Amino acid sequence: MRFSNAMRPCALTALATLFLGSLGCTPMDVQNGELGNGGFKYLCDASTPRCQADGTAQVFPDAIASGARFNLRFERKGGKASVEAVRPVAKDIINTVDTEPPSFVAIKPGWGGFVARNASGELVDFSMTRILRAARIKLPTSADTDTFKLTLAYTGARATLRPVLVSSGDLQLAGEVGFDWKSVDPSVAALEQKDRGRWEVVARSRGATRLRVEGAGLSREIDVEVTGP
Amino acid sequence: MKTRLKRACYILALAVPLALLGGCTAGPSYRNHTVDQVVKPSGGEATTLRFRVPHGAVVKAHVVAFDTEGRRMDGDIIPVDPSLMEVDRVVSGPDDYAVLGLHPGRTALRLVAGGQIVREVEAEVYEGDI
Repeated sequence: MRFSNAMRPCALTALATLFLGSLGCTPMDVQNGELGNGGFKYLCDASTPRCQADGTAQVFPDAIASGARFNLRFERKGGKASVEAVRPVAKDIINTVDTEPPSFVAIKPGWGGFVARNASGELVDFSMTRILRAARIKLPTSADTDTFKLTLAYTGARATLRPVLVSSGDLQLAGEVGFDWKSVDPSVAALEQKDRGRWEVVARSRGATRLRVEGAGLSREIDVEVTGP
Repeated sequence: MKTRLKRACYILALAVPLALLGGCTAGPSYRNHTVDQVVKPSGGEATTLRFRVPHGAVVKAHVVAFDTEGRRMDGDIIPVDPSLMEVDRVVSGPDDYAVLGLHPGRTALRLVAGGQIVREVEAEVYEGDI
């Protein structure tokens, strides 16, 4: 059987789904509960790299940054209505923010255990993630090193800035921290905030300057050069 | 001789019904607990002697009380210090419990069988490696 170029990604996705399904695998965006009664989904928005259209992360994070805000949803196995409340185990590690739906704030490094309860208060399932201290602000690009320089080829060119936090072991940390960007010389490179975690740098004139980003008690500077007219 | 025989008869007359009554009401009593089907993170522990849970984590166990005739008794687990450790019933069964590590420290868990506290086991919430 041959597939056209347009059909090939669809066919591969279908085959992969069938293969994973036959193995009884869980999609990567779901972290199975330890008791097998359902799974936890990490909720995100456009500011999170690899956030899906339904507002859930493509991959359940290995760790969350201390100081970051985040949200989870529990989905009971078998497609039953999710009536369970999700709450963290230790309030001094993760606290609940009284919003609708409730969200969470990672307070300090440690085990970030979550329990899901049913309407009678019985524990349905639980899961654990790690809360780690952020060591560095990183741009999610393979070219991002300490000497990384952003080059914009012409006036009016734009580049998206969507930084993430990484641990001392270079593990990407999930969670919303609210980054603040500043341009040393906005006449060369100006900044525009697109949403809570996503900014764009716009080339205004030929020259070089620096961008400074702050968040989670960390800061970083990035060189920018506008090379074209 | 007659008086002695009379006294023995009185004692027998009292002792036999009391013994029968005692035998009818006492029934089987608590014998032991078993702890199995443990789900725990690295370093966590749940046995009949000790429960250890990392701070912020959960240990689940199937904890059953048995009587002297080997029958299951209705049980419960009560933390001595609920500010350190929380014990929740799990939806999967009446003898499934989840022990939550709320704050680091040492405490104990009281195991209940047939409505009575029958034993106390060591319990600890510790700062686990992450």
